Amino acid sequence: MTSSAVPSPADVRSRTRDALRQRLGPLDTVPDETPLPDALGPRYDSLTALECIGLVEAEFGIEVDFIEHDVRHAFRSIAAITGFVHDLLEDQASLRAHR
Amino acid sequence: MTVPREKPQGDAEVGFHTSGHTGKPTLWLRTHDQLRTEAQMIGDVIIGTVDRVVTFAPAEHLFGRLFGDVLPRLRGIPVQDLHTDPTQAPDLIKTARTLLVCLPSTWAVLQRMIPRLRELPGTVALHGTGPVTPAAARVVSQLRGSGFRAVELFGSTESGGIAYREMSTDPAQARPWRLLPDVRLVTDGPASELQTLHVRSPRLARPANAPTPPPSLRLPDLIRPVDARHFDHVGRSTGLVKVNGRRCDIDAVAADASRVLGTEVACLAMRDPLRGEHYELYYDDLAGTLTDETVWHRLPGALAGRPVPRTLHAVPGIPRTATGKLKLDQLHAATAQRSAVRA
Repeated sequence: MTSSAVPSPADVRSRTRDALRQRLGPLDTVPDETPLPDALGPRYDSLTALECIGLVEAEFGIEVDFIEHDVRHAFRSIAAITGFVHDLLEDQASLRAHR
Repeated sequence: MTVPREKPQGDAEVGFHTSGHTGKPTLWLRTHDQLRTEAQMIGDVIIGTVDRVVTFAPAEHLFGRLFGDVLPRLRGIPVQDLHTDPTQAPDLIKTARTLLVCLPSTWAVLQRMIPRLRELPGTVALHGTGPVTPAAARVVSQLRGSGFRAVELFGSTESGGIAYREMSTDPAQARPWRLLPDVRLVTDGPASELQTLHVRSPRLARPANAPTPPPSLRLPDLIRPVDARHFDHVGRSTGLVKVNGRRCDIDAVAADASRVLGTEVACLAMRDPLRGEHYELYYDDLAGTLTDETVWHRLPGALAGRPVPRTLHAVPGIPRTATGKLKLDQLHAATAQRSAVRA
């Protein structure tokens, strides 16, 4: 796999919204940059964030490392999740390309 | 990481709240002697020697207090307290035997750390009351043969610890619960018949409005005794669910939400792969005046700190029998129909 096989940020964002919809319902009115706890109130507590991590992992075939990654920061908004996932996919693609 | 110091406690009691059937907190008091006795006994009988504790349970709750505070004080061992952030990974020290004080959600973190857990010289995961989650079963299964042990502890704020068993990866193969040494079953009928759990113990808490603890305590759990020291847990006799170990009376939630929303509400218990148990809230939107958004906005006023529902379902009326019981098939059919229309 080369870096060209990594989905674009727009694709990552769209798939992230679809994945989160399974747990959080439609997020059409939630802007990308808005912190999810602000947008969703008590519905997006730390346990719901934990569920969302699992959904995003399943969607993109990635594994979030709770020790190395700043999970709280990475899953605070749709934009943050998109950036985190895209970077992780790029890192994985680079590693594969250099093997 | 801190090492709590044992300090003289005098005769003062420690209060723990339960949600109570009306949604108003009920205060239960325990003496320091009761707390120390329980932590020491479970430490000796179940946990054994550990060098440190990692707790995911808040010390405001009995389970977290006993094993994240009282036991470490008694033994003079350090504690890492992670209860405020369930996504935070514990520091695992390769040379240290570790006690993990787990809530159902903890296992979602532990399943990402299996290689690290396998390296530890000995780990005991104490799982507070709540069903075994799929993640817990995966961790226990993958660490079989290592120094890792997982033990379920059954109890309540009112009773303290009642019974325990080694965690099974297959619910169908789960062993009966074994009573803690100082607990006795009170059997109300033929010993092997289904009955509510009724126990005697020197560690029963005192209700704040009573001068002494009750001589025995009846819990809302249905059990079938296996023998004088073991029982199978069959279910609960009330609308009580434990959302990540936190008790919530969903019948009381439905009543309070009905009042705040001005429409009929019903709550249904469900299994939750992360929290162990959870509930869904159905509201009657036949009048067309409510949306999910407005309900989410107004619910906190009704919940008074109790866990929010996992999902909302707007339905055209809450179907009930003549005696007021929910018609579950009609409720589910209405939900499916509404979902199909929205899709």
